[in-house]
Amino acid sequence: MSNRGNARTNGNLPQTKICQFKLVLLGDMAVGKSSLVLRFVKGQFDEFQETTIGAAFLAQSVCLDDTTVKFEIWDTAGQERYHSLAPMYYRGAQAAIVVFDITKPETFERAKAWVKELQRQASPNIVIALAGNKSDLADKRLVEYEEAQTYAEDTGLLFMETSAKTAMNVNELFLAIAKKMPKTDTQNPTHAARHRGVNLHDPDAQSSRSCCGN
Amino acid sequence: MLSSAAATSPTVIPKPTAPSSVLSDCSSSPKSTPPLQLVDISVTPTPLNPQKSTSPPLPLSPPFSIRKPQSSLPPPNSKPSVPPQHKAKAPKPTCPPLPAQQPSAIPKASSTAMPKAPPRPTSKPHQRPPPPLTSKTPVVPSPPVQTQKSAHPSISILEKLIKTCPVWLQLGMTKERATHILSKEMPGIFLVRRDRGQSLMVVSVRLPDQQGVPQILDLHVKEERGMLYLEGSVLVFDNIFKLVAFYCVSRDILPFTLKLPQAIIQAIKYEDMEVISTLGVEFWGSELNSHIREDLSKSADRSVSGEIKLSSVNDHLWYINPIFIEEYYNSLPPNSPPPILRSQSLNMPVQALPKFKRPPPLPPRPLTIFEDALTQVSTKVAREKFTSEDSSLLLLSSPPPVVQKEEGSQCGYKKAEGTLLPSTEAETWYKQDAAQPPLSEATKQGSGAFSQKNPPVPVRRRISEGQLSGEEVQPEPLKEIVCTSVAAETNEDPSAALSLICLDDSSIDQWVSGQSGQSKTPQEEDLGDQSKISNGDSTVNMLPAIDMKKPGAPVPPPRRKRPSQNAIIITQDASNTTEGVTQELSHITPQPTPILQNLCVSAEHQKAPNVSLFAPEGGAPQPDHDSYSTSSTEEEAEPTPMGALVKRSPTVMLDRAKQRLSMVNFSTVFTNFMSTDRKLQKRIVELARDGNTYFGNLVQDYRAFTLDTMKRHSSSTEMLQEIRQMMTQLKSYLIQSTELQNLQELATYSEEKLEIIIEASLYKSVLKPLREAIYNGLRDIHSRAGTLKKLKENQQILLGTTTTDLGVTTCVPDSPVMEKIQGKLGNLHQEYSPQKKIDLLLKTCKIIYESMSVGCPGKPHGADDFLPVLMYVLARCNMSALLLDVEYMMELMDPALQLGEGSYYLTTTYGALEHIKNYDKQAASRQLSLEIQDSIHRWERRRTLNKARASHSSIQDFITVSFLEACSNTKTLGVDPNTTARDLSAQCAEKFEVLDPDSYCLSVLVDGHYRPLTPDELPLAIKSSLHHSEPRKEYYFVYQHGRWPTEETDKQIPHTPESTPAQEESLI
Repeated sequence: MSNRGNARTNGNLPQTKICQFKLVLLGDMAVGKSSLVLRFVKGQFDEFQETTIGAAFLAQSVCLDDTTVKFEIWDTAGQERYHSLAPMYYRGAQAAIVVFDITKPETFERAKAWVKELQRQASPNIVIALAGNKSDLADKRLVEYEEAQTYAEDTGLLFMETSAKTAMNVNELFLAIAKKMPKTDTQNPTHAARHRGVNLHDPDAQSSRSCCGN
Repeated sequence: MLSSAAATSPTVIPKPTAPSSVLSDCSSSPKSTPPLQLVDISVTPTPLNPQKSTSPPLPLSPPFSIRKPQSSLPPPNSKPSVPPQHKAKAPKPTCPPLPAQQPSAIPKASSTAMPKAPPRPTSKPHQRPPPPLTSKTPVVPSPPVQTQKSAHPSISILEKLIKTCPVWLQLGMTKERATHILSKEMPGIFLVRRDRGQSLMVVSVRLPDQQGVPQILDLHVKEERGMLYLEGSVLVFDNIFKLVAFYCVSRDILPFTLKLPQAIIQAIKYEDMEVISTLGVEFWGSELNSHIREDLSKSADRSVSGEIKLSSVNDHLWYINPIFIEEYYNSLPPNSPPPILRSQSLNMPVQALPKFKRPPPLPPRPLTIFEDALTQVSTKVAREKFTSEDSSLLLLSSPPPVVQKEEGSQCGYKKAEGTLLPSTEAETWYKQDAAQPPLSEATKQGSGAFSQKNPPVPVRRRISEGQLSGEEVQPEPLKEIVCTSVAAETNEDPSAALSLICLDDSSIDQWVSGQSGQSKTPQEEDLGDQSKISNGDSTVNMLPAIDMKKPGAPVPPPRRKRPSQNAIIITQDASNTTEGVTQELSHITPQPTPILQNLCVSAEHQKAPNVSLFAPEGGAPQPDHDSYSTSSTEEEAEPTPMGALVKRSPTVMLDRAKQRLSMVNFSTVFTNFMSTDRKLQKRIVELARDGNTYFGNLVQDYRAFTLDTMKRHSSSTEMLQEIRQMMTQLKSYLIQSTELQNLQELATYSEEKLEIIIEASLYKSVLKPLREAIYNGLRDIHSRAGTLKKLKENQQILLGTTTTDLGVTTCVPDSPVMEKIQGKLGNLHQEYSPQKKIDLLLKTCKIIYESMSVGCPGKPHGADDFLPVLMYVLARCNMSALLLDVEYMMELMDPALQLGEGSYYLTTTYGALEHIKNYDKQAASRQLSLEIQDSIHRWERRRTLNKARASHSSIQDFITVSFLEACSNTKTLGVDPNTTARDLSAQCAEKFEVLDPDSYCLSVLVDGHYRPLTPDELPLAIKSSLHHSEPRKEYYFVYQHGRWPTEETDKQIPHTPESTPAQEESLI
């Protein structure tokens, strides 16, 4: 919550660029994936929030300077048995947040596996963030910050410890991702408003878009 | 259950005024005998004479709506009906004994009432609400007795038609074959087939021999705004079943009514009909048919001679009228009528018939009838307690409130009637009626019946009401029925209500449950049970509302009202359902039950969206009529979404009620801000249907081409992509076409907005007709791949797993919610618009979310929770249908649309289905193929690529080529502007499987002259120039024996001048 200042500043002025990104959430069951996103979505930016039927899909826009970044956040089921469905979600995604629970080492291992899979199978340009969630339970911590930090640096990930409960670093995480996203895919604002723009998800699409841009 | 209901209120049965309408129709046309035959099976002959009484057209009106007249008839509701009641009552006195008819008959009564009233304008209703039903009695000496007799013929004509459609609905049959079959049948026997080359159905009717030669009459079934009608008639129907059912009892524009084979008429049990329907086409040549044929031939002769036996007619009336009444005019709870009908029909088909015999519908109009009905109702109401729900219902509809007031005593009712109805509404009614006649006449093109009597039209309404009242004279039965329906509605248990009210609903539920075929009987049974229960208990809580409804329902406004309502209803949904039904039927024909279900589904489909409306609607039916004028309705209805939701279900009272409610609440609003878009959309749809426009031509060719090529695809994606691509091309063509720009409405639209409207129009003009074919194509592909089988097998496995196995950690939907979900998915399957399908999918997911939160409200659920529950839900749904739907949505959706949430849940549903398909209990399904894993990504890419491509690509055009001679063996071939005659000729050689292509060439037939094309000519340019020539010329491309001409002059003469514009257009 603390960090919102930046993000919130400007309303969608018609002249701002609008970038839309698909962000996928990965991580073991019960690590707080959806809580994290809900905190982000419901926490501060009410005016940019789009109503959705459930928490598995959420949309939220963040304003950065002259750009409005709209995240379409696709949650995935963390159960191992549904692992095979994950590629359907992360293929074509421009960003991913891999979440683990700092009180459960096995979820960190699982997170590492996800990162590996993403780097192998997702689109090459995908922005991956690693979130060590439940930092409010520091007294029960079993995954050391440094360990995760080191891993993230080694693998080129964004990393933050977050707490969906206290909102610590939640907005920061999304803002960091937003900043890291390539802004080349801007959509014509009018298009975006109409929901009829090009599909940003796919690189091909983007290029074609810019061509026909209107 | 039906039977039981019937037993409980056998007397009621007679009430079903439906017969009356039928009778009246018959009366108008002496030949009408055929309907009689239908009825005859169960019943004894009754006084035919009454039928003669020339008011035939009027009675008919209830079942169908008049297309044009709609505008004129807006306010027919209950009030108008009241006057008729008085008249009706008058007749009643004559035969008070009829009490047996009772409530169950109510729906029918409305229809019957009209006929009855005219014959005997006594004022029974007031005197004896219950017995008054006598309207029938007048006609028939002893209705009660008849009712008993009729007990066996409980199955309505509509039901019989539905169950035996494999016999008479032969969409794939050639004209020759139909002629062959019919030539051996007696006059009136019919087949429904599909016109070759067109999607329209044709009713082939056997006419009496002329000079010893069997005559067959082909009646074209036209479609407008989703409603079907016979060419030349003003009456429209939701589906072919209703249409045929109506013409089985009323001839309208026909020389006589249609007849079902005697074996079907005489079938008393569902089993009998199953035996018949399993024979399918073979029935015609079977002993089953031949036997009866001889018997019939005698009776048939009679009927042909002139007025058929009344007895038979009577039966017909019973069955048919109720249905129609229910669907169209019953202001009462939409759902309730059907059950009633069954019971009634079962109990005493014969009695009912007599009542209606058409005679005097007009005279009876008087308010008295209505009053009678009210009094009856009131008495019932008084007995029963008003619940809050009821009151609410009442409030909704103006008539209901009256009832409440009246509830205490008959007098009270009367007063209420007097005050409410009589003063303003009644008057307006009359006025309207008076005004209406001219309108109706003017509007109606074809049927003289309508136009012939202005008074009749108004009369009808009143009559119907009067009939109702008269029939209702046996108040209790009616009330009970109504109550049941109402109760169902009030309960807000959609399923229950549905089951009670309409077959459709129940069927829907079943359908939803996932077993498409078998459940029929169970459903019916369920319905029957419910109805019984309701009858027996007459769950009174709802009674007041019911009563209210009843009056309205019986009243069923004359055709004119109908039309307006119909028009509304007609709109899109109805058409969808009908089409879907018919198509499905064609596939399913062998299994009668499935068909029913399908029908039901469709009906429900329409209703489903409005579920919440059910209760209110039930109460308010009549008021609605009054409240809105047809003119407004017309526009609104057509526009679509709104209309669809509200009006959709042509069937039954619910719809009516809904309509009314909707009318009151939303209609005006919608018209105001939606009508422009709708109008434009409608214009575009019309454009697409107009074969005289280039665009219309393109659309038709495109559809034909798609149908033809669909089967070649081995992958569903490929198949759907081709369709999507063509739609996109059509869209980009239209946007730039002068034909669109000629539409005035365009001026105010941005291109973006225009694209959306065009997209919606294309859904309707392209996807709607193709939907079933697409489903079939997908089904074939998946069957071949074994997908569906795997899905089914694994579904069973999945059903055997625990929620824990699935990873469920929250609540799962309980069975009522599951039914709701199944209903939603059923609707989804019926929907042709990908957009609406997605909307329904999201609604379904929302319901799932809601059910998950039951245990811990407020807790948000992410994918960890949602996916397992979705798996749980899918395992209990019709996954095969959903699989097709998911593909349909994914590929046919406008690629320019960003789906967002829709995309997510589509992906999730798709993933879940794939997961189930590959579910392996032992391996716990770890793997999905790489292809599937990447499917969504590819899908998204396809969409974007498509979009990019669409904006650049030229439009795929088509040329229809006949083989050997014009109009014969026609194929539609895809061409582009650069396709030469030589190219096209090569395509033809392949298409027509010509062995020696060199000896064939292409010619174009214009003005009776064949002009061979030169090899380098561009056929599309020729087509375009011919199409745009003034005056427009008829032209045919023909692939026939011949040689390419050598001269080049030929080419250029025709082409050069015109080809340029043509090409431009095509390129556009």
